[in-house]
Amino acid sequence: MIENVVEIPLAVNEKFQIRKNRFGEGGKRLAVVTGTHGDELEGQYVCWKQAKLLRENPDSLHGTVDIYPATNPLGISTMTRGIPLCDLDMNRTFPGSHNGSMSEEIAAGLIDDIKGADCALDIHASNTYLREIPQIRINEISAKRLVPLAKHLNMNLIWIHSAATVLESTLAYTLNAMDTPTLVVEMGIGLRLTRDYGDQLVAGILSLMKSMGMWSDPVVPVAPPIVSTDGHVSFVNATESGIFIPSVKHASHVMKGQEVGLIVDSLTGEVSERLLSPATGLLFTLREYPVVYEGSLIARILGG
Amino acid sequence: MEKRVLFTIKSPYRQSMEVCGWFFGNPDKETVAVMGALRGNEVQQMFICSRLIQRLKTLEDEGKLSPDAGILVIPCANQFSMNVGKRFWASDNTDINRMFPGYELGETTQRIAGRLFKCLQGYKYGIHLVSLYLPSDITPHIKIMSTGYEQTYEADAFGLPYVITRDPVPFDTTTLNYNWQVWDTQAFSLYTRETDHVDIKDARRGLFAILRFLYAKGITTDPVADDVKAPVHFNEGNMQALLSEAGGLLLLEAESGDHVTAGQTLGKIFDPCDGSLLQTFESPSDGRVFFTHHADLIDGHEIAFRIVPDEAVEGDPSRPDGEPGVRMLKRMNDSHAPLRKWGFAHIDWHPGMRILDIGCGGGATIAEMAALAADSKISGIDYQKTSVDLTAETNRELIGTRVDVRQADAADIPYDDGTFDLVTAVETVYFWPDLSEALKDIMRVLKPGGQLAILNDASNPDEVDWPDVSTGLTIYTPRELTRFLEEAGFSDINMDVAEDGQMLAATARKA
Repeated sequence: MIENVVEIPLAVNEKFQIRKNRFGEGGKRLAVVTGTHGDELEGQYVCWKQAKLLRENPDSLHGTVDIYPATNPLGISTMTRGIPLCDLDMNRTFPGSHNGSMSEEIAAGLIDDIKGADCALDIHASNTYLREIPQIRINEISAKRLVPLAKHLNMNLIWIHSAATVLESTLAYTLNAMDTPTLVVEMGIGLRLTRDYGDQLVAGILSLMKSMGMWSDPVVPVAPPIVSTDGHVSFVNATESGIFIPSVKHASHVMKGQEVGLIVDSLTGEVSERLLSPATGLLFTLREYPVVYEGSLIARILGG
Repeated sequence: MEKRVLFTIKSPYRQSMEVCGWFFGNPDKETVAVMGALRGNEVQQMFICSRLIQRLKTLEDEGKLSPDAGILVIPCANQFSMNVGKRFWASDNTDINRMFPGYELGETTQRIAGRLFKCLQGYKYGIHLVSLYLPSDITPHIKIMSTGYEQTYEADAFGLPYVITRDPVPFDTTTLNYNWQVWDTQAFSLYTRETDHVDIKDARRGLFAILRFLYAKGITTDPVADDVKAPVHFNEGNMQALLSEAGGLLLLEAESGDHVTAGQTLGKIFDPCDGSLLQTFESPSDGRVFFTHHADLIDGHEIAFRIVPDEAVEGDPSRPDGEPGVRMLKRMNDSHAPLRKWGFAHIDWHPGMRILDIGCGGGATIAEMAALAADSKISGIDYQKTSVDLTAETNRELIGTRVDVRQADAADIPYDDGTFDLVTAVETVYFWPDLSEALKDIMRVLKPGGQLAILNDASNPDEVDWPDVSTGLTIYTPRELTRFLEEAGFSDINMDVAEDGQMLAATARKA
């Protein structure tokens, strides 16, 4: 059943709406949320696949699944990462407020609807610059509760990161603080659909639902993820500016000192910088957008 | 003055971005840092910095900067975005003012923030000229994050109408203001009305606010007239927000800075297609309009107006009362110092004078006159008991000997005819209900040949944008005061207006 979660009139003959599709009723509740950043689309395929499965197999569901494909509908429809007009990053507006501006009202309305779920997934897709392997990111303060849930999701990696105050404005942090276990999925890249990753996550969602007693059909076994902390993640940032040309494939294994890629100058034909891996391990983040500035993130390696 | 390239950021296809700073004063001192545009649309903020640089250069050349102070001004740290018409960092749409304290090994805007913070950290005072993200008209003000390190009354020295504290939410912890405070800098965010375009009058106000602050802190020796009678302090959360229920076209009937009464219509939303009235905004209380949404398209659930209710105001300068009144009077003791210093030079001082100070306020005028005129006896009157008490406290060592204070009205002075050699009225005539009557009574109590000195911070009402914080405030021009004095029978009338075009010393004698 499709419902309006938030509805606000816009200036000219249009309503802003966040809609969800509810499957089942009663029992435990799972919320599948995506579309907070308008340039991250991987979650659209997941929502479609998930909704199709639930629609076609209603008797297999024991509980409630709410699917929210577009928490930033104006952003998705205009290829805008933030909320258009004010250009705010929606994932820095939570918990919001019913007495504040429109962006605060939207955030508060969403929280009101999701909180209390037995589990929520917030699906992100990196950004337009970097490709990520399917992973769950967990704030260290919630790790004890969330890691056991995350292991069901069929992701390659669980990255437990340190707490940072600025992240307290995110949807996931806010829900976790309200006792709604929420897992952040990062996978793929902005503005694209990676079907393999999407299928991988859908299998994981079914496995999670199975473990929660919400799904009665058989599920494929999921591979155990690597579980890692900040201390095992190394970064490669550009020192020079120019065009980045990778020398390795995303999700490959690299050795310390191995060439990750080159930054080249398209005017002179020169190589401005040769970027080397600082560690041996899995290259789980790799830049796809070629134009780089000094400081641009190029890669992340899990190792060390 | 020294211009330095603070750091550069390399870019593909464009020149490296050089962030420049202008240094003044003592190179070994880090007293005040001023940060301008961090965002590409903060044109007004950058312009104010450019005017500040010109002014500081002049002051430095004239020897009017303290030898113990060092000043840094950074007008712009994001010309990359400015030159392509983008607000945030053009390549990845991130906000530098959400990246502090920065990180040298991080992504581009983290590095920019980190390098900036390295230059800005360690200053005693930090002033950041910022803009709001909402399309709005606001009253110029100072905002300070409530971190526990703030000293909000330091902000009074800017002389802007409002000093607002904000309880930080998590994303505020990466702003310059917040991080300055955490790292021991007294930080002030200065908001002006305009952002995307240059507004000369608004910029002048922002510039003078900074110069006023510098003077009050002893960094410059160039006095600047007070802008407001007393800044109003409040927490952002105490403002009343009026939200739109409908989306449409907002037309305004009140502007930012207006005083409004409960029930007064502030604006209306009309359907943009058929023109029907969708919503009317009425003020929930007597107060002042602090913020209005632009007269433009507005969505539902947007903040259309923000009101500072009168009950939240800490002090009416015409009737200082209670603890807020005392705070305000004490502030005025300090903030009127430039006026007294300049104005007292117009008075013929001699030992043993008999002096009356009308509207004695916080008592600083009497204290300084007691020092200027040896063996003088000074009486003070004020119609507010709060002022009488504070004047007595300020001059407690001379009360009963050289100084006496009593509660009285300027038009009914409780002294015999021909008592005084000098009558002073510093920053007070604005509030007198009947200036003519008061001047006649002053004439009565002056000795023949006695002098009247009226010292005002403002004398050009067209150029002063004081919010009407009280009723009955009148700014007199030199011509108007001359007429009043002539009608009261005064002679030898002189009007001297300072270089800023506002500070006025009006002197006259009883024949």
